[in-house]
Amino acid sequence: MTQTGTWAVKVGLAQMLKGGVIMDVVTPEQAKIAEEAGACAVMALERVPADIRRDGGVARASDPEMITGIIEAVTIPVMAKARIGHFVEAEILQALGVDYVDESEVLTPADETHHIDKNAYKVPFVCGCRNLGEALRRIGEGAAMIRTKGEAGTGDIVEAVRHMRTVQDEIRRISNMQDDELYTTAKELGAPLELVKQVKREGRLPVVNFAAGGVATPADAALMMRLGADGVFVGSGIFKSENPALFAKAIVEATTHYQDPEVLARVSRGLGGAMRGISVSSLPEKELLATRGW
Amino acid sequence: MTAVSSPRSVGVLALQGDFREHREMLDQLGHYSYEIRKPEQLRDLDALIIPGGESTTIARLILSNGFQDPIRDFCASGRPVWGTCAGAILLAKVVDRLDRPGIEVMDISIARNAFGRQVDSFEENLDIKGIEGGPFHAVFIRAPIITEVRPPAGAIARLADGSVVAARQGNLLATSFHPEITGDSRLHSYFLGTGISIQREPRAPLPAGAPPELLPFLDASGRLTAWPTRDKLQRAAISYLAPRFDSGQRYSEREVNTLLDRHHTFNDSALLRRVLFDWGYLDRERDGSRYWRADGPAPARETADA
Repeated sequence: MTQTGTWAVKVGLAQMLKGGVIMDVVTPEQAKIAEEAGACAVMALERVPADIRRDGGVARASDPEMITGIIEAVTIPVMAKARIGHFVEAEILQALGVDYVDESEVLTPADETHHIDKNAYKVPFVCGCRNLGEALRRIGEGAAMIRTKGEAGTGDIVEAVRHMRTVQDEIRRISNMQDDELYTTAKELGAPLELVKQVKREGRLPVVNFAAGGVATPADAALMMRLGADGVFVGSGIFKSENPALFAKAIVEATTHYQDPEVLARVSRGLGGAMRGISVSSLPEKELLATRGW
Repeated sequence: MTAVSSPRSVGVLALQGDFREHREMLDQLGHYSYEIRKPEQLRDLDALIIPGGESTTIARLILSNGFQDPIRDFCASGRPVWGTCAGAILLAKVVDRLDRPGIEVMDISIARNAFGRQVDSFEENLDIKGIEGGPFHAVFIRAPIITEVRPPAGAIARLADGSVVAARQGNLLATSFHPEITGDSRLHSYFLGTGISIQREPRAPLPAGAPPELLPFLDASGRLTAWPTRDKLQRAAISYLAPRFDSGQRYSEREVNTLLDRHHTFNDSALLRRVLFDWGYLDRERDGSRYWRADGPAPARETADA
């Protein structure tokens, strides 16, 4: 019996993306540059997070025509963002044939209480998290892939590092617990008990976990891999740099050779300027994107 | 799980994709598995797997890291080589919709993303020629189809509609699905065991005292070229290095570093010195002014596998 849209094929696509770089693109031309450079997938959106941050206003899912143009331009998987809780945007993206939906805090949330019931879709979802509880809540709702939230559009890696270290630390803590301690832990994390048990059993998240939000250089990408990321999303970091094609290739090499400082030194040379960036600590609380979602 | 009489050293190309899942499968079967990111690491492997992943990405990294000819030579040496999904695409001589060259060694034609987009990815049971014990549960993810099989290649599995999804050509194996993520190790055993005879090239002699599982980490002069990530191999590396220190001699820290530098190439004598001490192969004065050889390992330390 042929079965589509199963958990195995949803999680499986994320497993195939591991060790790779997923790049934000806003036009078919950028998508081609990303594919040529070795991106393992692209995220199609109207504005990169740095521009969303600058322009303000309401950020919504992208124009289907733009998404279709990008789907037709490349052979690698195409992801697209829906607003948190906006299940109709997600249905539209599924109908367009995107390969992964990112229910993303980078867009303006549509629902302040509920995330999308992602189990109800054939298309897989990726969601952001700041800690293990948030990651497991999203997985409970059906997310087949997790990424750190970081602080998108800043080019500042500090939040992504915080979120990745927090998740890894909480996983290590649970791995060392007695079984009878898991109930209270599940309550404290606000996470489904079955998933907490699974984390203890396997010593890792039940799905692939990428780094996102603030990756701007090859060294940033390698840092996140060293901290335990399975792969890297780069949003504004590529097409807001001086030489997008060079930056894209260098970040792809750095994500493969993250343990090899000699290769990292070689690929980091002569790239020109990285994206300008904003220090997260200089941002007022209400401008932070990572605090969206729960 | 079938026990193996002779554990093999199997490389998994780790440029991008699900190389960890292949390694877990090989480890379960009792083989040694290695992540391969540089061509020189291919030297002493018994077999090579090119995993699932994004074929355009892996193809670009094969080219930029100088893997194309070394993998072709590896295929020509008669040692088993298996490509799953993206890996199968890279082994095919003819590929539809790939904008860069792969390894191009198998006489098959392959069409990328042949079933549609991710929402069309599926699971299916297959009968595979040469695999006993009932149907093989196969997961297809944005999978390719083998559109043409030319001798000496032969089809070994088809879907109900006749589409070829696995093919073999001597020591080369291509599957458009992912046996590494379903927990069924029969194809991994087939790949290494009965299905394909190993015709290994004569090996360079082992450096004195080198355990075979450490070979991918040693260069021609027996120097350690990288610090393994797995605990088992770290311990093999350290017990290989420890006898370089003479019992009864006292070394300054600088002498320890100099000696270690002669036996490794990744420029981290501090790491090796610390681990030698932590694991009880070296002892030292409290102030670190003098080091000497100690008897052996202290009780096992908890080490996370990366």
